[in-house]
Amino acid sequence: MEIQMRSLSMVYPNGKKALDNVDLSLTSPNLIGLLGPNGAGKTTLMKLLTNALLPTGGTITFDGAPLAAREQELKSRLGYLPQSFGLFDELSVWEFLDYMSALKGISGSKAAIERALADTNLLPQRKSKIRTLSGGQRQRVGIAQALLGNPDFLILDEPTVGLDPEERVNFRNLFSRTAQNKLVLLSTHIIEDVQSVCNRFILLGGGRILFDGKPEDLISLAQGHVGTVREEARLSECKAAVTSRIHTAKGVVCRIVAEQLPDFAVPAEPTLEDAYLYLMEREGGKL
Amino acid sequence: MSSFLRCYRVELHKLLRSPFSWLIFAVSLAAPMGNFIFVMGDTMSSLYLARPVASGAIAGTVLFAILTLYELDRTRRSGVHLLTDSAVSPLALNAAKLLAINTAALGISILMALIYFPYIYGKLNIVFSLPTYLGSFFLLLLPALWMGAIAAALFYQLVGRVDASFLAVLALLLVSRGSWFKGNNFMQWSLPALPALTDNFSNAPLFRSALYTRAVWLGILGGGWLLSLLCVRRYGKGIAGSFAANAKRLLPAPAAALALITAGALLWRFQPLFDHTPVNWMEVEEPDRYVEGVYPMDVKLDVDITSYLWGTLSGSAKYQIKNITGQPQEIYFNLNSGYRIRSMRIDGQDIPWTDLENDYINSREIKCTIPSSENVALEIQYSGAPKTWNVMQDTFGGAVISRNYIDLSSANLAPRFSDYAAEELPKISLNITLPATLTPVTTGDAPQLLQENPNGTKDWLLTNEGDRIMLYAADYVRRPLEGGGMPIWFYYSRNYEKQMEDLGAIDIMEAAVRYCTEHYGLRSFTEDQPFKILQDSVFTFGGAAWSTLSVMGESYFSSENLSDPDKGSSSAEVLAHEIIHQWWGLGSQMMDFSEPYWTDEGITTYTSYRLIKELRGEDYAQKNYVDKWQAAVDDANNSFYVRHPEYMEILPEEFAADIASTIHGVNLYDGTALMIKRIADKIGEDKLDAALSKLYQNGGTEAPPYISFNDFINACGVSKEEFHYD
Repeated sequence: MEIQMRSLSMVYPNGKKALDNVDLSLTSPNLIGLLGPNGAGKTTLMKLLTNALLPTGGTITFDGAPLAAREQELKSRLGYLPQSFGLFDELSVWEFLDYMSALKGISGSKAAIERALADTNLLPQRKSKIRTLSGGQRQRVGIAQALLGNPDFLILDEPTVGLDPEERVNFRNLFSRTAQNKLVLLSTHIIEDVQSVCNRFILLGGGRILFDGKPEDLISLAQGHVGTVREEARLSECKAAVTSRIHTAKGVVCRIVAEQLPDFAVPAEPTLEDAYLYLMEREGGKL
Repeated sequence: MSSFLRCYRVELHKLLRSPFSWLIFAVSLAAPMGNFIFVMGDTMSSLYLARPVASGAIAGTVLFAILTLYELDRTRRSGVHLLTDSAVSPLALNAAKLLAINTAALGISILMALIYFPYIYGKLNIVFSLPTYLGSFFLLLLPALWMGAIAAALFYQLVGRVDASFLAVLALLLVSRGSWFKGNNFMQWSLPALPALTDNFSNAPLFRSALYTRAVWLGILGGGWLLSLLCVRRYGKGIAGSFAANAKRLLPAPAAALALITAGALLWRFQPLFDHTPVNWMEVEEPDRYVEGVYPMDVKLDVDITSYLWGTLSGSAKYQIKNITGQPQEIYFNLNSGYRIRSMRIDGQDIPWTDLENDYINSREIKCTIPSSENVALEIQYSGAPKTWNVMQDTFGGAVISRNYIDLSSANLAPRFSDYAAEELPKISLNITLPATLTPVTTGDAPQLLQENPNGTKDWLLTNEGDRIMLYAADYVRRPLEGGGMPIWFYYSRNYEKQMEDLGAIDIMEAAVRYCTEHYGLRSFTEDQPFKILQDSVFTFGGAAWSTLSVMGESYFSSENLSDPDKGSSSAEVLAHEIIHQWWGLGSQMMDFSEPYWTDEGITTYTSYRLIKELRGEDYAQKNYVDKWQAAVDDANNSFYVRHPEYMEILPEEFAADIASTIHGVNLYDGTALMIKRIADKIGEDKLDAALSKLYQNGGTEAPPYISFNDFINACGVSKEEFHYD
């Protein structure tokens, strides 16, 4: 599967520019982490990829043909979890998944539902009415319906929202397993969720692509721009952004990113989160 | 298409598992028991089939609109559309939902037809007709449910709001059934006009009309729905943007929608069911077509029923015309507006003709020119399906062609020569082939059976003196009525063969014949041209009478009417009334140019009262006749528009005509009968009877043979100052 985006732009009727001249190529197999702060254009990009929105500029091709012309095929191969969604509260978990699998035209739906329930750890709740589920369980129903039928193309918009830490770990592993032979696009602003599983990152900021590449390439971008300081008060003397504060016996140690590390800073090995923040801060003109 | 069918199966499955759906289904199933929709007719089929079906249809329209709105909004309301839209097109899903709901409507209609069958069959008993039963449920009720669902989906897809959509459907329903469009069958998108159902004759015109109006509205609403489907919001766009984007992807849809709407509009505009008589028809002056010295001598009609299903015929009318003017003359024929002239020939040569298209009370004029020869042989070929007078589009009074009943009279049967005067009445004959089960009855001579055909039909020759034939044909029983000293034949539906005798209906009719014979004198009927009393379809809503034929509506003979003493004043009155018209109306006529209310109706109504008084006693007659006349007159006199006629002028034409017609009817029947009763009270009934007998025997003097109001006043020995019309 190959999806190509050329000069993709999206301007909403209220004038807000959500995407600006984006060029991207997505091929399977791949597990791609789509990162960016709120308002970066992640959800817009995902809606464009599911054909829920039409771009105001540029093109999207799906296996060589315009996406809009292959909407039917796209839908038949797509599993999609939107950032916010609803469920039929009066149905049981099984009934809802049965409804969705029927809509998707999945043959052998019973086995597919069983598998999706097992993958999302919902087997105990299979007969529960959706109205009785917790927020995390509802989120898992959403993930389960996206996984139904083992689709070639998975788009998951903030899938771990509302899940407890253990579930988040489970799902990270699940997504990693799932992506063996397909294209998975995983949008999040929680770096931790994607750093260990994604083999490619796309960073969006202000509707533009700030980075597109392997995790190690992203990290190397921040090499020499990450350090620690003990004298926080002196940070006002330079352009640096604090990424974390660690309380130690000798006081607070601040981890910073800067274009030019101050001389009172001790250089440190960048992490993925450091690299992400470095890029974001740089893009925001704060460094 | 496969994804649509998949959605359809899923949605149908979901619908049938929804408790709300079953609530709607349950209320729909119960709705016919409500009987809250008034149906004018009082036949058994009207009371026990039409009313429940009408109630079920109207309630079903609203209920299935609610169900549709609930289902369409459910996905969006719950936010599930964010998931489903990624799996299937929302357009396919909406279409599948509507189809699933309409499939459920079909199921519910079948269930209703099954559930109510034992009750309705038990009530209708001998008059039960399976085609009428099925037609009622599947042409009247089921499409009402469909229309409700389609209309609701249409509005919802346009505005995207449940409350606004429901109000729109409700408004559309109320407007169509309200007084503004009362009488306009084509505005009835939910339930077409259902004034009655006949027990014994044919409901074909009603069902044909229902089928046609269904086709009209299926086109209009279906096209509208398809357009609105393209307005389903997608791609984050508003109504216009979504329409443009959807239309681009579903290119044939806008064209198909427009084609459907156009087809519906064209079907409406060029409907073949009702004529185009102008609204102010009462004010239309009938043109004078009389040409002295031109008249028909002999008329030969050959009529072939070409389709019993669609009610069409083709015919040939051959006229021998006398033209003693020595000049070519323009002559006119009246012909039902539903027929088209195929050719006109004189002595074998085609001649031009003009269809004036001046529809007036279900016929229009055809004009042609005949040469100066004294004897002209004119042949007219025509065909088509007879139309009903548009004023009667919600009552279906008019010509009927069906396999089990035929009512073709005068211009509904063949072109009728316009005004003429001749020393001798022309001879008219009709050759027609009818199903073997039908017995023809006409105004003329006894029908002659020419032959029985192997295909289950019979060839008949019908003859009469005059320029027209009134033809009725049904599965009739022919029974003589005794007691009048003259040949009287009563034709009634075979359904009642046993019941009519048992319920004493024959006794009432024989009593009326006896009463009039004793009080006024014999009618001059012969064995060749006997007096015929005919039971006719409920759609005549009353009765009618011609020279040797009196027609009565069937409901007066229904077991419900005849076995209910409280209804004596309606059933017995009308039975008696129509019999009495053979004396007052046909035997002798009341008419006065200066007194428009002095007609046969007043004296006939009064005589009905006298007969019923003899049969059932004075108290009964006073309560059911005199008191009711007085009440009707009092109501009319107290009417706001009678007291303030100036306001009539500012009323819309139709309302003013309705009020004027009601007041006219009260004066014609109740007011005149009341005045005659007052005269009888003053001079005594015996003296009044003697005066009436004398008038009947000798006719009037002011404008003979008509009996004027003065003739009557003078015969009674009272003065106009004492008894007059206000």
